[in-house]
Amino acid sequence: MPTLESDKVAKALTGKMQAEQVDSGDWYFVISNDEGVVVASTTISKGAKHTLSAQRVSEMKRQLRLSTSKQFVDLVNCPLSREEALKIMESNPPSSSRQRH
Amino acid sequence: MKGCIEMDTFTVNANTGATSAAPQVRFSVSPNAETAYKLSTSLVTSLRITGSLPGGRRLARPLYVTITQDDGEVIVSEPHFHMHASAPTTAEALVAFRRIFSGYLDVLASRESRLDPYLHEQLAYLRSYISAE
Repeated sequence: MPTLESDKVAKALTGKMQAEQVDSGDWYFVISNDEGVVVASTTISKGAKHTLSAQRVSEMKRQLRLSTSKQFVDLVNCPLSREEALKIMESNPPSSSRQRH
Repeated sequence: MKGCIEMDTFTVNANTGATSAAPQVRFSVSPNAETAYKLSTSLVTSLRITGSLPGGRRLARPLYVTITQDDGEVIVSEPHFHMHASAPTTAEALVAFRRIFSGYLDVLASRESRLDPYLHEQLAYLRSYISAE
């Protein structure tokens, strides 16, 4: 189960994914596509660099509408491009068309 | 596999620092620790939360969340859009979750005209749970 460092995740979101970083007590990261449509968001608590546990990586992956934790790790560690990530995010349907649990 | 169980409701005071008044955090926990589930390295429990949110808001109806203990931290998450918070203790994680859950309403509402259908649905979900005090 992968873990990630919070500073690397924040850097990947604001850098590669060009996310807007919103300071609202916590850091909210808002990701838009090239047309300016907001397609995903996630949060990281403010504070010193810390390790995101495997469970947190899994939750953030789901928030970001990625299909696997590996995709999230690849997004942070470079192999997955912004274009590929946006394609995956936008291909995931709204929750109303998914089975709720 | 996760389980949702009948629970007793407890109330604790928690200081979020986000409002002048210390909000009450009400959460339910299993009366019997043996009913919690062990999932690989994570301990997962389902809880039903109600009550105040930061910024003069409240939960309009009960919200079911999962509490997971993993690698020394506690993660509180709702199951539909995976909004979550983490902290060293359950009480702190619940306070953080309420702050983040409420904050998401502001973040998404201020961008409403630019949201794709998925996030529009997330915003509607938040509005269905959050009301003014």
